[in-house]
Amino acid sequence: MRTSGASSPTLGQPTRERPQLLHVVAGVAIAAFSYYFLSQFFQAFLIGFLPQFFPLKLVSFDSTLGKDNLLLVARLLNGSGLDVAITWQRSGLFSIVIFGLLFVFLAFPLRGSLLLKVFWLEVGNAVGLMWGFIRLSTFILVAYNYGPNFSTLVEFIMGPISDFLWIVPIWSLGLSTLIFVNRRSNDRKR
Amino acid sequence: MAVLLYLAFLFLVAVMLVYLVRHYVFSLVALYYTKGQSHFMLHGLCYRPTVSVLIPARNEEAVIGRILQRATELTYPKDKLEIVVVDDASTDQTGRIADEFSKMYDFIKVIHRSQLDGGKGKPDALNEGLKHASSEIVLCFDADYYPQLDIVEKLAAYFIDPEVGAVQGRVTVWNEPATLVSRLVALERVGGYRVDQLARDDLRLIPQFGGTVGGFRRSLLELLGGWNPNMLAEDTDLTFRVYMAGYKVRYVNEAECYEEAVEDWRAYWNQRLRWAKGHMQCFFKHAWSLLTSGNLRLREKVDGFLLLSVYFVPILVALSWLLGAVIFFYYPIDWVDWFWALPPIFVYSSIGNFALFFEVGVGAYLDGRVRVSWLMPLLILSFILNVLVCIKALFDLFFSRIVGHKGHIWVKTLHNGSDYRCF
Repeated sequence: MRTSGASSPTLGQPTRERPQLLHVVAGVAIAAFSYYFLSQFFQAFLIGFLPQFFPLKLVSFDSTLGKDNLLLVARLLNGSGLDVAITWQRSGLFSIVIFGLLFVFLAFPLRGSLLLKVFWLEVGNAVGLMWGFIRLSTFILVAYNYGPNFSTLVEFIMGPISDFLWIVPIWSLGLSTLIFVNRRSNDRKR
Repeated sequence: MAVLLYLAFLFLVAVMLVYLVRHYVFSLVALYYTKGQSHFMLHGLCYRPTVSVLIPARNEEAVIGRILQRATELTYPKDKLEIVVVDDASTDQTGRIADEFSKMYDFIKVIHRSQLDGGKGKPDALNEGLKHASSEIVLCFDADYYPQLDIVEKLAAYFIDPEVGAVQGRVTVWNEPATLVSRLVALERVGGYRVDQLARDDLRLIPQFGGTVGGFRRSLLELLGGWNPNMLAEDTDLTFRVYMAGYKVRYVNEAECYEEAVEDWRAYWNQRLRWAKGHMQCFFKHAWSLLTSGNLRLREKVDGFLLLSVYFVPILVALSWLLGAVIFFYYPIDWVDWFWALPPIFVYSSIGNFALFFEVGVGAYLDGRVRVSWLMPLLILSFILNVLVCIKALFDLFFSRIVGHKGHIWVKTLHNGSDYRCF
């Protein structure tokens, strides 16, 4: 049990730090470039990627351009087609943007190496990409087994909440790495 | 019908956006804001008012000895310090242990309440203690708490400002490693005190007296009539009465005290249900008078209103989710998708102060704590439970109003007095 007040890390008058505004600017630029790049290629990538690696071989895919989003047509067992528009939400890009906003505007201004912050931003983007693949695959799998209506229901209800299943852990892991590095550098200074 | 649903959904989204912005601003303030209110550490060296510390205790034999031993070690001059233990009709050894300390130390006083008079809840016990307290400043600590050695100096120093009516210190969880529940409570405390309370103090909003690890100017407490025994959140009730009387509450981050947090879900449920009901009682009692009070500035009124409403937010989040689903399937419209991502952000937040996960993360960063933030994804568990807690609390309040029963049973939190090493 800690008995002394003065040496505790949580005690004393609250300390303040200066926001690393240059890091924020760099973060915004890197995040914006990442999203621009992803928005250009990610939907097409998913459509190309999914048919090759999708575990359910019984499903076949056609892809055509939809009006606003790329359209993926999954052919179900009974021969009917399931139109799956690859929207921002469904592809995972939306959750990547939310992660980026949270990370750039909360973690980038903190003390710590810019490289480390960029690393975690890109880790988040990579996990987000994988999550997009998992989310889309799950949607098609549920549609295949239980029908498109049920799949839409599950996706709408559970989609956003499940996005945060990766956003929160990756965000907190990135932050805890920053805390760890800062603590170690403080210990070295002492 | 569709338009009504859209408006209701947009209203809920707007409420959530307000809380989102509020807590983002709080996070930034706790990190970077340098123009907050001054701290009174230096004045503490020359300003030493007389202080009474009230310790209400009902069946606290496992912990009462620990806090009384700690009280004997406090560095505040003993000729200006008085410890008043209120043995609230305990049926265990609480009274005997307190009496032993009282025999050894003159500044410790024990009030024994009979089964007939006592056992009516903490506010009632505190009022009894107030009758026997004789100092200018009255602080209170729960029996399971373990204060810093110089906590009285740190808290009392703020009363040099005549506008300060009450102070609140920082609560840190002592038994954090015990169970998952105590770890989650620790997360809530980190976000709630290190960020939320501090930011509200810095921005001159409404820092809240949390019922323990804090205190009042005695004259003000008597003017206000002491603690209200009919309120389950007597601390929140008193906070708003202090503000509306023209005084302010200061949050003292440097005055830290350790608490024994609940360790299982049942105890967590009971404690949160009491808090939720109490807070909702306070909303119905104070919301209007807060908005019309002449003693508060606009920003204090806004923050006070958001604070009073905080236990309704989990219900609103659940409602917005439900409403969004109804709109999506029965009255589809394009923009619903874009707002649909908002409610899940709130699912990862703590209750009581409604600190969102990033606010908790900022608290962990400021405390330099690494592993605590790994648990943030699990905030979803306590949030889901708290949605149910808040719904039940609301139903209970309405039901008691319908049947005309105004009194509520005070469900005491049990403490086991386990000894833990903090982080």
